[in-house]
Amino acid sequence: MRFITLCILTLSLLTPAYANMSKVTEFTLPNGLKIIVKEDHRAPVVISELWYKVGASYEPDGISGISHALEHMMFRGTKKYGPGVLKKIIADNGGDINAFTDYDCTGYYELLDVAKLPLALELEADRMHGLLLDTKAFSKEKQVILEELRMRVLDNPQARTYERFMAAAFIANPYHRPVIGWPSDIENLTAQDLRKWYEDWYAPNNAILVVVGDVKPQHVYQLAQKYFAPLPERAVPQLKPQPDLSPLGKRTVEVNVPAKLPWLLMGYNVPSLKSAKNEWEPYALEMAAAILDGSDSARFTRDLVRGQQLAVQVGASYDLYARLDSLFVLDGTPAPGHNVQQLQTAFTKEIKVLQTTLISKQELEQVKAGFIADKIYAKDSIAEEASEIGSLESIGLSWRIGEQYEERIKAVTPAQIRKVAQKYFTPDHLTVATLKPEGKS
Amino acid sequence: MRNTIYSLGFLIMITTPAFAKPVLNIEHWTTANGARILFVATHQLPMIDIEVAFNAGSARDAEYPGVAQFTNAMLEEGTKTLSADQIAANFATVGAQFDATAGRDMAVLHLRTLSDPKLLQPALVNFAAVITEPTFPEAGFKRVQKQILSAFAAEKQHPSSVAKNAFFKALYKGQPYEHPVLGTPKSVKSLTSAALQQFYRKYYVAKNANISIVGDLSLAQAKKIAEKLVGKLASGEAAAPLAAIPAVTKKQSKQIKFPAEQANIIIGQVGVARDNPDLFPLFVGNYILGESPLTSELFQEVRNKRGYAYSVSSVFLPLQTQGPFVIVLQTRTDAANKAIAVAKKTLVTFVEQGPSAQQLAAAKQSLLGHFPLGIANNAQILEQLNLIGFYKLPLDYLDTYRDKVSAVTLPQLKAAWQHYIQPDKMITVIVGK
Repeated sequence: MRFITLCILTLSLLTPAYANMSKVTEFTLPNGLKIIVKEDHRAPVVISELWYKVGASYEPDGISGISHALEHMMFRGTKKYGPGVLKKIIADNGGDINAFTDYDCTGYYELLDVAKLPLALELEADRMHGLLLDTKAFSKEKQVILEELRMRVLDNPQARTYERFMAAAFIANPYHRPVIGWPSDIENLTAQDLRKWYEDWYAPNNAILVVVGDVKPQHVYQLAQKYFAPLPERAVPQLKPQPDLSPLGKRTVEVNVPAKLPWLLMGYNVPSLKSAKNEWEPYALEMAAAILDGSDSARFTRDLVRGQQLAVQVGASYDLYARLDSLFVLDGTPAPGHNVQQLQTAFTKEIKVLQTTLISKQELEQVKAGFIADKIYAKDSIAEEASEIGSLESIGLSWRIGEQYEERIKAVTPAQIRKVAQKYFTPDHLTVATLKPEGKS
Repeated sequence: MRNTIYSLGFLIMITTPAFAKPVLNIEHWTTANGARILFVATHQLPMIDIEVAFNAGSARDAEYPGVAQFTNAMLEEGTKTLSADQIAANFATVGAQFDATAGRDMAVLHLRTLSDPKLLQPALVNFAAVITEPTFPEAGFKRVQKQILSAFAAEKQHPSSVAKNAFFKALYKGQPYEHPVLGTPKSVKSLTSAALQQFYRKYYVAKNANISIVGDLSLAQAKKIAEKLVGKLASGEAAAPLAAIPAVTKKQSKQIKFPAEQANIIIGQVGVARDNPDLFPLFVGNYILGESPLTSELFQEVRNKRGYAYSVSSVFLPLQTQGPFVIVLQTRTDAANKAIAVAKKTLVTFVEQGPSAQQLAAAKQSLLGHFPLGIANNAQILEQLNLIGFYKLPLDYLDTYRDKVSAVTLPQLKAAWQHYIQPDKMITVIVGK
């Protein structure tokens, strides 16, 4: 297997030559707005993303979903540009505009011709301080949000299962609550609630502007200065720590809704890159997820889908870029003639192997080759590049951590993978959720 | 508005000089055995994308619904010299990504790989084996069959899939697009490995293949790669053209009971084929009616003004023969009839009156501005090449695209919509309580 080692070597020799084309430059305005520019000169386009450090995990009980609701209202007009004008301006200029809300961030982006970048920054600066938040418009938008809830969650058996699974896996940790919010909380939100949320969190010193594309950093800085510098810095609320309770034993959840296919979810409470005491642990967990499900050649598909034919679909995932403790999630759909119990036994066995047997050099190299290649493929999309920077910065980590990712992954040893498996993949850390189709045994 | 018109004029001015450089430098040729190749070199990233598309989608299923999709899924299950495990391992070892997908028109095999020769060569050898030497082993057949049967169940638990399948069934009665790409459970259960091999031998042939290559290669390298990938395929014959689809003659409404909070609604009729000469007026018009994200007429009427839906859009899906025109939305059960009425009224008004001159100018400006966003990276260029190659669009399609958008006039747009869309003969499918 010398061949594989050679490939990896070649790869690492090869990447620096391409590193120059994606230079990153960082600035901070006097009002605290951070600006991160990544150059990508392949095409005359640019993506501008404004990330706010606020999301579902910032929300106190009773107003869950408020970050997401505010994100919707950010498209309903400002004092300067009335309702609907903003979207129209960007559309008329050939751009795409949209937004996203997650546990730890709320983000707004424009994808456009590089010459139109000033427009995007002007509009984002305007809605950072001049939002209308009209009561009537919110009553309509709330109906839209409730439709989104029905579509995304209520009419999707797996999404409903996932929601109950997260609520059981996290107790005091606010990842307990769904990003979209609990239905009753959404229904009872008011425009006044949203106004307060907006005034609390939407300040330049609580935001990061990420710009990736065919731009010169100095030019972006000048534009950002022009549009954002007049906005004053404001104090933002101090978040309480909200660590989770220590687990006292395995948690199990059953979801019985109309569905056709059973589904299994198993999650282990683990640290994230932000919360980990040992910096290598999250990277070892990333490796563990890839060993199980990094490709069609990884253990899950090879052993459980093709080998034992227990499952028709399997997955293993871990989100290391999170503000609070995270979850290592396994999921699978049993093959016809098999059930979730059998699949759970098989998943548990695979976990046991991680805990007892060191991964071979050959398998380790294969998994690492996948990571390294994926990192290069990700450069094909400026949206993905911007997303990595924003995901890190919005949880208070430096974008430089993203640049070191490959190095950190390469440094993970077989013993470290075994160690995190032993430490975290224990019954106490485990939550199991099963979707049992209604009317089926 | 003056500003809009000014910018529009400016854009046209700079995009139409006689000496204009092509948008993409597309190289094209045919392999010795007859496969058509389109290639664009991009050297900024050390990676390559290759898409091999056969005219072997579910439209070719004939008496075996599901055979196209099943065949496509079986290629990676074993070759003359490799097991499914070995195929997967060979791709993973060099960090290559492989996927196989089938739709109504195409059966596609896609490889994304790094361009370093030490990684590229093993990936290509593996890819070539999957394309040209699949053996359809019995063990893999039984397993994939079970996976497909599960996929039927997955579709049945999603109201949007149920609605889509019901709509195609109503629209394409007796036509090759009638059944879902997956086929039917009955047909998939009755299929044999021999039937798949027969399908493979007929349709996975060079003259029925279109290959798109984008990435860090020279033309000479790309030519070698193409021969290596499909050189062993039989020449065969291109699939026969599909028959034209008769227009819908009367309106129909189909209600399907489903335990969901929302009604999933599709309103539509027969649209147009890829080679339709009126595609641009229809396409520019649809941008105004239902495609422009967040600002279309349907979005304004159904979502912004009334809060009936999170997502509402209209789209033409031009295929080898007439693909559908559809309006798709979801709304709470008690608002379903009202939302349908609003959507239909919006369509009627649009077809009868057409957009305003101002709307047309804005739409053109938006589409022209959007153009560079759709060819900005390897994945997007690959998609464009595949579209141009598979549907035999002119090779200057991208070069003339902006002129064709700019040239659409209001009377032309209105005439095209009134000719192709009859709002009083829509098929409406409602899936819900």
